[in-house]
Amino acid sequence: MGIPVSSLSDEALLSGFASGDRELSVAFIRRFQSRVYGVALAVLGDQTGAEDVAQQAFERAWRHGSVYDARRGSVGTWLAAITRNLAIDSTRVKKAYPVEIGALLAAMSAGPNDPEDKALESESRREVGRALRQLPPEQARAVVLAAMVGMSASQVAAAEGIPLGTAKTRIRSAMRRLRDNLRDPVLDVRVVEPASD
Amino acid sequence: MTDIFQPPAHPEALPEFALGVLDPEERTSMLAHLTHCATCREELHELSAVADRVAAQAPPVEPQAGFEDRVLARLDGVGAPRALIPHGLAASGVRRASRTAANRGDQRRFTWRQVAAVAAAASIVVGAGTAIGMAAGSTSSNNPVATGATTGGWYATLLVGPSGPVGKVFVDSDGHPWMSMGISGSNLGTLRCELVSPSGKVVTLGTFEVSSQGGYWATYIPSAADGATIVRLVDTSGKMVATATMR
Repeated sequence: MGIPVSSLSDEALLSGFASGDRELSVAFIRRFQSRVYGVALAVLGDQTGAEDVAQQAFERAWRHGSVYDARRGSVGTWLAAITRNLAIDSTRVKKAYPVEIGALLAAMSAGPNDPEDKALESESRREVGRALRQLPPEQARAVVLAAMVGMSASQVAAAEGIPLGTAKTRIRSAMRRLRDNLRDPVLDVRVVEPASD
Repeated sequence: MTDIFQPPAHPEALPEFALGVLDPEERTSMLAHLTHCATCREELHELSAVADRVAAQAPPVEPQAGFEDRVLARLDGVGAPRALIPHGLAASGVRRASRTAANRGDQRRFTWRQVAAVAAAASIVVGAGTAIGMAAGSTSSNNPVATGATTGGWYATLLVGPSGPVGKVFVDSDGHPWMSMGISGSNLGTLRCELVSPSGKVVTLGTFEVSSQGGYWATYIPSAADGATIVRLVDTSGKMVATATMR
């Protein structure tokens, strides 16, 4: 008996996927499909487009898996970046942002509902979530719209009903604060709830 | 000398560059700036990591049942996996300047960081969107490519089509010579970039897409193109779309 595939690391599964191992490929896709599809859906807002982009993202991962470098970030982050870029390219062709932005922001600030998803949420994701919650809300919205939905500053300005210069300032300030906060993580005081009985 | 100018640098826009949401014109200027500003390259490296991590925060959503089967069926149809960007690129000697549509547009910030890390050792392909991708390329010699590029350094020149300027070309002949170009939105489709020497020798550098949003592309210049004086862009029917004069 070998090691169960479910206990293999992300990197090991990626290696198996890139080398064409069928069993490891299925395990790899299943492990990451909800995150990849979620990123695509966040940008595109439609299931058909998200399915196609998610498939493309796995194809890219399959082609480039041998050059993945763990020092640059987790497999999940790498896959998410590939997916987001593919999805943004797709929206540029369509020139449409049909995403339910309010629902996306609400889901982000709430975090995963499912206990299993909560358990699987990596420390890295929790850390980024905390850093986002530390931003002024208007900055958090601007950077999420740009980073997750792929909006330019002018599109953020239109979506938020603010001047272009304000949108740029919010995006830039948010990105630099996130960088600083992720470099020196801060406590998320908002998650502290009073005890109830 | 009207075609030679200094592009403005906008280092304050690095966050948008890292997020991949700058328009093609601004990206062109930013990339030119980055080639000579180690401080901004370092900040870009950090901001790109932030952008990737925020993008990964999207709420997970399960696709429809059978997704893995559909992915595997797709992969079965496209052939064996192949590493596009081997590690140790600078020493690989692999050249792949032209990419298929399926290969364009991925890994923009990821590969930019790789570019910075290896101090420019391969051809860079940037899709019609914000993508900065990388195709494995040859490590060209230190020979300056452009005739008249006296002491190295970089310069810019206009890309001119039948109706006037359509974009800009930036050439950096220091170290490993490379060039980048930005074209305003004109939906030109797939263009082939060629360098032409006075003797008529033509070296094809690769292909890229120009959508209605414009296009941006960069590549390292092989030593085979030493002495070239003309950059020309040719569409899929063989029609000349634009040319630029190199120094």
